[in-house]
Amino acid sequence: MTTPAVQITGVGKRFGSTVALANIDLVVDENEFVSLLGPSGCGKTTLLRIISGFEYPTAGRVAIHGTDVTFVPPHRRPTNLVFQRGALFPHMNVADNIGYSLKLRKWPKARIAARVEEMLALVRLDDLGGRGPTQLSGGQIQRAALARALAAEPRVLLLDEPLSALDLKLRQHMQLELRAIQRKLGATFVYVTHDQHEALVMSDRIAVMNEGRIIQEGSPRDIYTRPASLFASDFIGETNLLQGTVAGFADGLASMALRDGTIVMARGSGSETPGAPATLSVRPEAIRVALETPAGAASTSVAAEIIEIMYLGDRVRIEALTADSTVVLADLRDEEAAALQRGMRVVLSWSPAAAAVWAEAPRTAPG
Amino acid sequence: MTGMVPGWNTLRQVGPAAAFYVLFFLGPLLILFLYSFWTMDGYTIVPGLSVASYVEAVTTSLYFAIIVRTVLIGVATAFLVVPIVYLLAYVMLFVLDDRNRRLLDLVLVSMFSGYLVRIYAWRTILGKEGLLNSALLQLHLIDQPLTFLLFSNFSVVVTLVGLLIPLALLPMYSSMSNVSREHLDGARDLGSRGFHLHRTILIPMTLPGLNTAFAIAFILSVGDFVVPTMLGGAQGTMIGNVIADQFKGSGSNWPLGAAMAFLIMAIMLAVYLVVTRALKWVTRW
Amino acid sequence: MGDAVVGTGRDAIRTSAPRRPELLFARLFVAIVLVYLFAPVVVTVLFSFTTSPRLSLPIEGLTVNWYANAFSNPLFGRALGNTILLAVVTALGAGALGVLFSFGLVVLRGRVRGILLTASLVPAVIPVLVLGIALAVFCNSIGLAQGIRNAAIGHILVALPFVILTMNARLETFDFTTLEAARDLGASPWQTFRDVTFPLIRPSVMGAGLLAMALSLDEFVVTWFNVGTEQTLPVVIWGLLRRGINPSINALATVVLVSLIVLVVLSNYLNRRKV
Repeated sequence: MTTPAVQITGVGKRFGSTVALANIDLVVDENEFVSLLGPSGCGKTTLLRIISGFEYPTAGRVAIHGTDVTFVPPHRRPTNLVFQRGALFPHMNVADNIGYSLKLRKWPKARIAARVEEMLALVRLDDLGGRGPTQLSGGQIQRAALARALAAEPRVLLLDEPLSALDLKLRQHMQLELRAIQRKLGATFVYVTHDQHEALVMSDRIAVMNEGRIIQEGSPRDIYTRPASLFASDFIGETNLLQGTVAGFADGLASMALRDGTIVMARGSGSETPGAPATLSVRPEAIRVALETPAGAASTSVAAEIIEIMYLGDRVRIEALTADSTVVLADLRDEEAAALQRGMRVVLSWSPAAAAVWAEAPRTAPG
Repeated sequence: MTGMVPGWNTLRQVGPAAAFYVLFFLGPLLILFLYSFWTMDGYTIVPGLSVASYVEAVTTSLYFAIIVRTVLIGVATAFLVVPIVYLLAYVMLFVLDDRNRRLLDLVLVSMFSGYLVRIYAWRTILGKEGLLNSALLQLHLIDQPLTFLLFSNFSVVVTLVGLLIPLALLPMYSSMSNVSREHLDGARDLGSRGFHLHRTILIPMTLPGLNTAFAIAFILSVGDFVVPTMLGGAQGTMIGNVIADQFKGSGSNWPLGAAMAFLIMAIMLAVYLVVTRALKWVTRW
Repeated sequence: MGDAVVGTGRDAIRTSAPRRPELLFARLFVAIVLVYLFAPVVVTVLFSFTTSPRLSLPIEGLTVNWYANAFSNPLFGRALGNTILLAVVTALGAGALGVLFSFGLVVLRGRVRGILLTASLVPAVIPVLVLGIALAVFCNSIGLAQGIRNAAIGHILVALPFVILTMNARLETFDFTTLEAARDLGASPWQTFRDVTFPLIRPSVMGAGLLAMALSLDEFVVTWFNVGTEQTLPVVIWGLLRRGINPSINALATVVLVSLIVLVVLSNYLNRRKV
């Protein structure tokens, strides 16, 4: 077992009486691309800043490649940070920005120049070394910031939502570029984002955070298909939430009573107390739409009326209203939706393994 | 960043200037305030706690008249300066917006010949044998030189206005430049025009700038003593003259001077509050 | 005139162009105000060259005698020296105190920061007359004799609010993440200041310093009450003015005017070259 690139043990952070982080344990291996994913205020940026040295934890330890760096200031850590808006030095051109860390390390001029060339090529800013930061577009700024952070070959690269200021197409393009660069260099990346799609696309592993804790950790597939909490299932990807109360539990399946009395079932944990508030979570792509209840699906379906049909190019999204006034979204292929029309009464069903029941009510109104 | 929270470092940075202020601004003002409660017995200053100096400042008919005249001159000056700089800023920003930066610089350059010299120059312009009179005589527009031009309230106000326009323009311009053209266009689109537009939209939006411009014009004119000395003549004395006289002239009644200083500052504050409240009230809708 | 796209950013789209009469009125108004403001300046320059000491029309002849007169004034040399000394001291003193103070303000939150900022601007709304006499009385009571030193204190006091105002405005738009970036890339606090902070604030610091200098050069009131028997340029001018009309003052003023213009043009040029 090789030394992990980053090891965070029991880290906590308080700001006065506010707890920003509690009991964080995380291991990042070499050559891994790990994302810290969560909504604003969940503590992901604080954690990143603790790894980079701009904050010191109030509890716990941070180690980079085996060396304890918990209280080491940022300029002495082998990590580099790519800032959200780039933070390029406005009074230096791109080449000088990139070469700054090397100048500090007293590299000879020729070597710096060669390295800057290399970095420019890597991020595909080849002829833009002489430009000033104010003459660059958003994407170019981020690439320059990336090049600057990579120039001195840090052992761990930290990225603080670097793509959030870019527009969609550019962001998608840069996501792939970042991933490619990471693989090419064999570097370790720790990436902070609130965009779950971005995390799914780029990461080897995702740590989902909420309210100062890591609530789930795993590969993109694990996080998506087996969310460990209602929060995770709602935050990652899209999902439908049906509210009700716990009815019972048998053979790994929990049953729940909707507000209109219909009983529905899905995977459960078994710890649900009958009568407690519960939510059933099922993703749009896991729902089948039919005119009648399919055989054997009596307790994994609800009746609804189609209120909108949206053609999204790669799929057709059905919006339907259930008896207890919940809007449910179902994604179908074009052929499957062919016979459907607005106003039709249909039955929405799912396979029990593809949905989950959680013994809590959603924080915000679903849908 | 670990250095971005207030700490000892912050104290070291804020400290020196703060100490300077306390020592050379607050200290002197407090001592002066103390003096205002002392009295004068012949040629010696008598420490104590008495409002005699304040009473003397207000009840002596000469001083009272001077105070009233000073406040009126201040109000007149400010009521001229503020509309001028308001219009100037409006025109520079919304009518002539292609050259406004240079115009602003030009206005500021007019201050470069110096405070005293500009006052002296107005004397040259307004005098009986001065520029304006000799020009009017030469053009046969008048056959006797106009005497009211100099050594009168008129000359004091004209000079003060000329001195204060550049200074008052700065806050006005700054405040108005925060209003974007879209605000005005939006209002116009909804039917507002002309005076109504100014009263209900632009003036309320630039109220901070207007208040500051008024404060500058009013405070600097009420507190001035150079202009009345040079251009005010015998009837043009302002309270600034009387105060200055106590400390560097024939007066030397420090307690009286101090009392007058605080008295006039209190009046300034009162007038400022009244005018700014009134302005806010007038532009309510 | 028609509608046109002028400028950039939020003023890019001109949806309503001013009509012809409005434009004409605007231009006329500005012209009148400029004439009003520059009348004294023109008069000063003009009458620094006329032969007649009477300063009225018609103009009889031109001469540079008044300049020679001004330069031969015995008080002039000493006053100039003091004035320049005070200007430099004010720029350095108010500059150092004000820049430091502004940096301290940056990390303070909401109320404390607001209170400190407002408090630092108070001297600007107190009449200079009061500042002058208060300082004189204070120095008198603690035994600080009048002279250049006291005047310097007064100058710094007058200039500080404006230095703080200027620097604070600059720092509010300063991107402090660049400093973090420098630290992150390996720069020590000193290196960060040298390589990033200072180059980025230098134009504003210099601007504030020049402003302090300009305020000091023209400062008369506070100086007069605190400088005792020493002389500064404004004090000398005041003395000459009290004695009656003297055209060599015009010569002096024109020299100052030209110097200031040159100074400002020079500093603008330097600023444009660096950042």
